[in-house]
Parts: sequence; C-alpha cells; structure tokens
Amino acid sequence: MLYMKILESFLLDNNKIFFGFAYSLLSDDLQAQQVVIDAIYVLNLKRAELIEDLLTTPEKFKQVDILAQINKFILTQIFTIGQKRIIHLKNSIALDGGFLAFYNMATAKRALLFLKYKTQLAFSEIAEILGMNEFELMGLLSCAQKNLIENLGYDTKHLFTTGELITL
Amino acid sequence: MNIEKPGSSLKTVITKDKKNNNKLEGLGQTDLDPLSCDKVCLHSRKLFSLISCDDDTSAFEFMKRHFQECGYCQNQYYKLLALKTEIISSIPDALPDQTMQDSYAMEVSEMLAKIENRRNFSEKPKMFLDRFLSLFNN
Repeated sequence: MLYMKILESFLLDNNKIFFGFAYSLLSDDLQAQQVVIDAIYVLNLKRAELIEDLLTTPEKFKQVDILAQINKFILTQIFTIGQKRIIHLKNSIALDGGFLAFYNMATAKRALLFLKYKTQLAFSEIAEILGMNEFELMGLLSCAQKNLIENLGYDTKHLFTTGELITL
Repeated sequence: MNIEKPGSSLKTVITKDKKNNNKLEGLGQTDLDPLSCDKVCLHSRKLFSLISCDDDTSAFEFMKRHFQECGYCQNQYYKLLALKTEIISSIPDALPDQTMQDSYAMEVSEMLAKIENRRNFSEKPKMFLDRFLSLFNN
C-alpha cells in the first residue's frame, strides 16, 4: 500500500511535466491531458513488470531508478501517441496564439526543445525518448533552434556562418 | 577584461563584462555582416552549438580562455545568450487547470486501484496454497 502511494504521488507530481510535454505537441489542454492518461494506461499494459518491481522493491535507490524508467516510458508514450493524434486532429486544433513561432515547427523539433529546456533530462535520455541517436539529436537541436529564431523574426544568416572567415 | 577567479563560472564573468560593455548591440538589431568587420574570429562559428552545451564541457573550457582575448566572440556570445533566453521563453510551459488536475488524479487512483486488485487476486491463491501446505508440515 505504501509503495502504491509512492507511485501515485510520482504520477501526480510529474503531471506538470507530462502535461506540459503533451501540450507542446498538441496545443490543446484537453487533448494533452488525455494523451497523458493514455500514456499511463499504456505503461500499465505494456510495462506492468516495472510497476510490480516498484511495488516490491524496498530499497530507495532501486525505487528511484525504476521511477526514472517509468518517467522515460511515459514521456516516450506521450511523444508516440501525441504524434499520431496530431495527424488526426491537425485541422481541428487551434494553435496557441502566444506561441505561434513554436507551433509552426515540426512535432519532433517541438518535443526536443521542450525536453531540452523545460526538463532536467540528460541528452541521452531525450534521444531515447525521441527514438534517435545523440548525433541525430544534436543536428535536430541546432535546426530546431534556428527554425524557432527565424520564426521569431530574427535574421540567422550570420549566426550559422559556414563560409571561410578571417581568423584573428 | 575580467581576471577569472578560481571557481567562478563563465556566466558570472560574462555578466560582469556585459555590464561594462557599451558596444553590445541590442537583440533584434541588424547584425553586422561578419565579413565586413575588421576582426572576425573563426571560433565564433562554434558559439551557437556552445549555448546548448553544459558549462563543464571541454569546448566550453576552451572558449572560456578564448573569451579573455577575443572581444568579437564574447560579443557574439552575449547575443546568443539573449537569443537562448528568447528561445526558452517561446516554448510553452502550460499547466493543467484545477478541474483537469482533479480528473487526472481520479483516473490515476482508479488505475492504481485496478493494479492493487489484480495483485491481490494473484496473491490470494498463493496464500491459500501456503496455508494448506503448512497444515501438512505441522
């Protein structure tokens, strides 16, 4: 019962991150919350052994490790489900007007920027969540930042100079 | 130029420098064409990827030393830091409202109740079997 409480408070405390992540993909609060709930149900269906491990492990450090795995799994599911749902809801969702520059980017780029700047996840964990390797992710990050800066109306011509420059 | 104190982070040093730097161009102003500048540093090309790095990477250590002698890179870095702030503030950080949090909490507790029931259901036969076997042992 005590371990069940640990899982419950983990899921409730992390809802801000889960919801924020889903919202960064879908731009609709009802849809975002539903995606989070769906992701938790998928966790129960596909990774029941993780929950079972958590409920039977008395060691604190193991619990922390299992919770980190659960966190990663839920975020992965949010990304997977969110990506599919956005295809169906594309025309029926009104984009959040305050963040148009952000929502005018591709889903993977939005997901990456949210996870990079709004969570404490390591680069390797983000790569795992988005299903890429770290090198691909680095390229995508650079591209996403450039896109966002451009969408915000800045000139990026000189930020990404690739030609030969004069050295000091 | 600041003299770096042991243990002081680059961001602190830069913040101090930034206050003293009157030549810094504001965010959103037209950037100078690098090729028309008197001094353009080759290292400035690394700066954009640097703003995504952690402060303790080796590349950062190198640039930290480089900033001491290169005003161009330092200025570019200030501008990129300002852009980074702009990037972060352009990412939505939405929070669910109270009604949504309540319904989420309800869903979670329902799901956990189901898990608990499932566990109890799978444990009961085992308990009966153990009790039954213990009768023979005694």
